[in-house]
Parts: sequence; C-alpha cells; structure tokens
Amino acid sequence: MKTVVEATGITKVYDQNKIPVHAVNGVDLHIEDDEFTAIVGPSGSGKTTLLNIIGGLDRPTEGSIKVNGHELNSLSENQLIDFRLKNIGFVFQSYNLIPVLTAKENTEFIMLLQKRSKEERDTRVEQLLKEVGLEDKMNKKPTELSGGQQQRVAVARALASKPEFILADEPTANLDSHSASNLLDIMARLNKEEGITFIFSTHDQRVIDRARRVITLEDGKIVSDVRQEPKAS
Amino acid sequence: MIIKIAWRNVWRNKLRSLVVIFSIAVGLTASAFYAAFSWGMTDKYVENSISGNLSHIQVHHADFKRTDPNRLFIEGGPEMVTKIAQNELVEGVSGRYLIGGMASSSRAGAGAMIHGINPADEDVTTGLSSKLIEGKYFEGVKRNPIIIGQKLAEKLKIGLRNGLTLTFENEEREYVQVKFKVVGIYKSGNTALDEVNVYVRSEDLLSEMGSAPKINEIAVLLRDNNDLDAATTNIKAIAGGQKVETWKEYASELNYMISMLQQYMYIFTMIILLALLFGIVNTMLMAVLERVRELGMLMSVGLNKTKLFMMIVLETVFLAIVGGPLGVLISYALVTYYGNNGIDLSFFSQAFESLGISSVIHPSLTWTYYLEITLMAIAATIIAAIYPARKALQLNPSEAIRKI
Ligand SMILES: Nc1ncnc2c1ncn2[C@@H]1O[C@H](COP(=O)(O)OP(=O)(O)OP(=O)(O)O)[C@@H](O)[C@H]1O
Ligand SMILES: [Mg+2]
Repeated sequence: MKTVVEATGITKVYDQNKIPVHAVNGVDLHIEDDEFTAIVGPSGSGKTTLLNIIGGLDRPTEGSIKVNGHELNSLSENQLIDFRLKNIGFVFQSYNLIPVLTAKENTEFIMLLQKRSKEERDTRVEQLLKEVGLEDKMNKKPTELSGGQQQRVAVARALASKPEFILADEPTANLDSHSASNLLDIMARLNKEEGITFIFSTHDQRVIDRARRVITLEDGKIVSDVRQEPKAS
Repeated sequence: MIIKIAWRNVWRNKLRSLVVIFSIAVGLTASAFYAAFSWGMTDKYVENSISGNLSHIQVHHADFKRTDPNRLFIEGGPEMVTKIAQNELVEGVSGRYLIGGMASSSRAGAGAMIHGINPADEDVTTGLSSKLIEGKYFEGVKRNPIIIGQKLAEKLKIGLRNGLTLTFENEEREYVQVKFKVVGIYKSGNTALDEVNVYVRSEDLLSEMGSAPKINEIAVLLRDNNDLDAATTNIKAIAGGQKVETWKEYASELNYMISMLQQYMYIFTMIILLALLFGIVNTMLMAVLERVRELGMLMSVGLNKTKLFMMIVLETVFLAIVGGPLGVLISYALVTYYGNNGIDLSFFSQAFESLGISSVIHPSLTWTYYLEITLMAIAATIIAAIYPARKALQLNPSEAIRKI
C-alpha cells in the first residue's frame, strides 16, 4: 500500500472579520492508494477547506501536507498549478465544465493542457465517456446535459489526466437521489476495477453508506475515522 | 483549444459582444470619416489656393520681397517664361510685373498690389477670367483696362467702367499717376487678396513707364502637383541664379495647416479610441467577474496563468478583429460615396468662402490611414484587455470556486 496523502498538524485559520476562524484545526491524516474515502461533517466543519488543502488549491496556515511525495508548502503558485494538472482530478459541486465546449472537448481539455497526442486523446476520451455511460452524448454542450450527466462528464474529465487520485467536493449535492446513486455507482466501479483513489465530501447519508472509509469532521477536527463495508446500491 | 474557447466565449453573450463590436465599428467610422472630411477640405483648399492664386512654383529675384517688390526684376524674365512654358509638366506660366502702389477713386483710396500681366498667360495660370463676376476679361475698354476685386470696388465705391487712378513709383523713383478704367470685377473666394490685387496689362504699365519688358514674378502652374519636385529641378536649371520656390516654401502656412489638420485627425482618433478603450475595459471586466467560478475551476484543474491571460486577451482581440474591419468597411463605403458625390456645405458657404474654402467637400482618405487606424484600434483593444485579464489572474482558485 502506498500513501498518497500525508497530512500532519494541518491548521487553517481565516481571520477576515478580525475574529479568527479555525476552519481546520490540527488535522493528521493518511490516505492510502485505492481508498474510497468520504469526508463528512456538518456544514462549516471544514470539509471543503481540508479538500482544498489536499488538492493544492489552498495553503494551510500551519502543518505540512505531502501528496504523492510532493511537499506542497514548498511549491510556488505556478508549480502548484502544474502539480494539480499532473496529480489530481477535481470534481466540484457545480460549474465543473467549460460551458462553450462539448462533453468530448471538456474531457479532452485536460489532456491538451498535458500536451498528449491526438490519437491518445481521441481514444481515451471515447473510452472515458463510455465508462461514465455518455458515449452517445459526446457532442453535447453542458447546457444540453442533465446535472447528473454533467457530473459524470466531470468525472471523465478528472480521470482524463490519469491522476493519482480524484478529489470530489460534494459531487452529489446538486443531484437527485437517482442521479446521485448512479454517479456513486460509477465512482465505486472505477475504484474497484481500476484502482482509482477517491476522496469525496458529502452530507448525504446514502452516499456515506457507499464509502469504505468515513472521516468525520467537527469544528475543523477529526472526531472519527472508521473503515466500513460499503453498502451496495 | 484556448483560441477555440476564447472565440466561443465571445459569442456566449451575443448582445454584449455585438454592442462592443458595433461600438468599435462606429468609433472607427466616426474618426475615419472625420479624417476624410478634413482631408477633403484641406485638399480642396490647397488645390483652390494653388490653381487660383499661389501656383505651384514661383520664380523671383533672389532679394525679392512681396511687401516691396519694386525694381527687383528677374534677369531675362520674358525669355525664361517662354522656356518654362515649353516644359511638358507645365500647364501654364505667367510673367508678372509687380508694383506696390495706391488705387484711388474720386471718393476713396486704398493700397494696391498692381499686377502687370499678359492676360492670356495669367488666365491659363490662375484662371482669372473665370473669377469675374462683372464685366469682361480685358475686353470692351481700349485704353488702360483694369480688373479689380469686388472688395476693393466696394471700398473705393466704384463700379464697371468707372475711372481709377493708380499711383506708384517708376523706375526712377518718381511718383507717377496713371488713369485706368474698370473692365471687370472679380471675386476669388479669398477676400484678403480681393482687396489688394489689381490686374492690368503689363504693356500699359511699360508704356507709362517707358521701359523695356520686365518681369519680377514668374508663376508656374503644373499639370499635376505630384510632379512638383521634378518640375522644380527643371525650372531651377532654366532659372539660373534666380530664387525658385514651391508652394510648400512660400505658402508655408498651407503646409502648416496641413500638418496641423493631420495632428487634429490623430488627436480626434485618439479620443475616440480612448472612449472605446474604457467601454471595452468595462465589458471585459464584466465578462471576467461573472465567470469567476468558471475561471476558478479552470485554474483548479490546471490551466496556468499565462494561458488564462491569453484567453481573456484573445476574447478581446476577437472583438476588435471583427469590429475593426467592419468599421473600415463602413468608412470606406461612406468615404467613397461622399468622395464621389461631395458634401454640399453651401449652407455655411459664406463663412467658408472668406477662408478661401469651396463649399462642396469631397472626403478622401489614403489607405495608409485606414491601416493605421485599424492597427491603432487593435492596439487599443489589447491594452483594454490587459486590466480585466490581470483581474482574472488575481483570482484565488479556492476562493473563486467557493462563490457558488
Ligand atoms: N474564505 C474564507 N474566509 C473566511 N472564512 C472562511 C472562508 N472559507 C471558509 N471559511 C470558514 O471556515 C469554516 C469551514 O468552512 P468549509 O467551507 O470548509 O466548511 P464545509 O464543511 O465545507 O461546509 P459546507 O458543508 O457548508 O460546505 C466555516 O466556518 C467557514 O465560514
Ligand atoms: Mg463545503
């Protein structure tokens, strides 16, 4: 087992209104290769903040974070962008896709940034969209897709870069329960069959039930970290 | 891909983009048309001044001064006129005997610049006969006919066929008085000149002064102003030690006017472009601010700052690339149409005429101006893109994507 995320003493303090808020408060966390981890907790508990720090979108106020061997604190802004491009796939709650590009182009976009060859892009994009069940929607723009379909394109896009792991911040928050469970099916299958590591945050108990590891945050602290047998859909 | 995204982004908000494209086009059209109009006006003025009065080239004695031309003659003047007339670039040559003096009627007197001319030559060179508003061109009066300007006629309170006395110094520096009879009254469009220039036959002057034919000014009208340099070289060769000048030298105020107009043209263009610039900055800033989350997402997934910057600048440049040529096309159509048909300003003609400007203007523009104005507009747009693009760069991806 390889450790992909190694966080030690992570603290993030926001003091925009003069009153310091400890969004994340002394978190130690190890995440291994192949894990399917849910980060849960009430609103404001620090899930997004923690995911952003792991993904190199934000810097911790204190503590060190090592992702896939990279000490993130030592990277410059530009190096961080490059790090994200090469190591992490992102799925956000919404606004995942470039509105003016089709599903195919959105998926291809990351690979273009990585300067992959045309043949590689074409075959991989097709394969990925097939995996998320959208082979017949390749040339549709995001506005022509449902919320669930858009999130599936986002997963395909996140996979396109062959990342070390995928970070998903409340990927199902805007989806109805059918689309949500459909998305979870796809994520779970990718995890199981292709060994892709997922770290996702959620509020939703049905989504939590599908995880193999559940980390609970409260007031920026980890209050529980359990491994469980995921329920089938 | 960045280019594709930028191009499609332009058309996301069609109305807004069209408004910007349209403003660029209208701004360009306005400044191009203004420039063409001023250019047409200047051109007309210069052309009128040259063909009606100044001529392209003048030859004088080296010490000649217009304020006191008396007795400074061109050596071998009459022969020189004949020789210059043979040059194929030359349309007309007029040798003049200029004397500064006084014109007086029984009721008033005024300073006058007496032009002793050969009527036929002068007519070819400055079209004097066509400026007559009363009387005939040296016809109908046998002895000492004179043509005077309308303004002078008013001043002296005289009309056609009235007597007029010219007083001037002869070559022996004695004052002589000679009676003339008004055979024609002209109006050149330049009131200042109409007030002082009077025309008589040079032989009449000579017979009064009892001397051989003499000339102290040779005015040359060319077939084409573009031959100015070549013709000047030719005439210099004929003119020996005399002073040969082109209108650009002796009418330096014309040249000054042209360069000033050009400067005004550029200032006007700058002002319009500046207004455009702020409009574009505003639009692009809106386009950036309403896409904060999307831009945050792009940065999150790995679009680097250079590419993001490029994308915003490209979006702006596309607006200019569509709007610019559109503006040039509209202005070209307008300028060509009015260039052929003319713009009639006779409503204001009195004011223009006293300035010596004809009242029908034919706007014209050189293609270099179109090129310059297009490049300037594109440059302005790129400058306008920089601020919004920098604003986009300042976005922090983690905060940008939170703004949901
Ligand atoms: N940019 C910021 N400036 C100031 N405070 C912030 C900022 N971002 C987050 N916070 C605060 O940090 C705390 C943790 O926020 P975070 O978004 O990580 O929680 P969350 O668990 O993701 O909540 P939610 O379930 O609502 O998404 C909250 O109290 C929030 O108000
Ligand atoms: Mg959150």
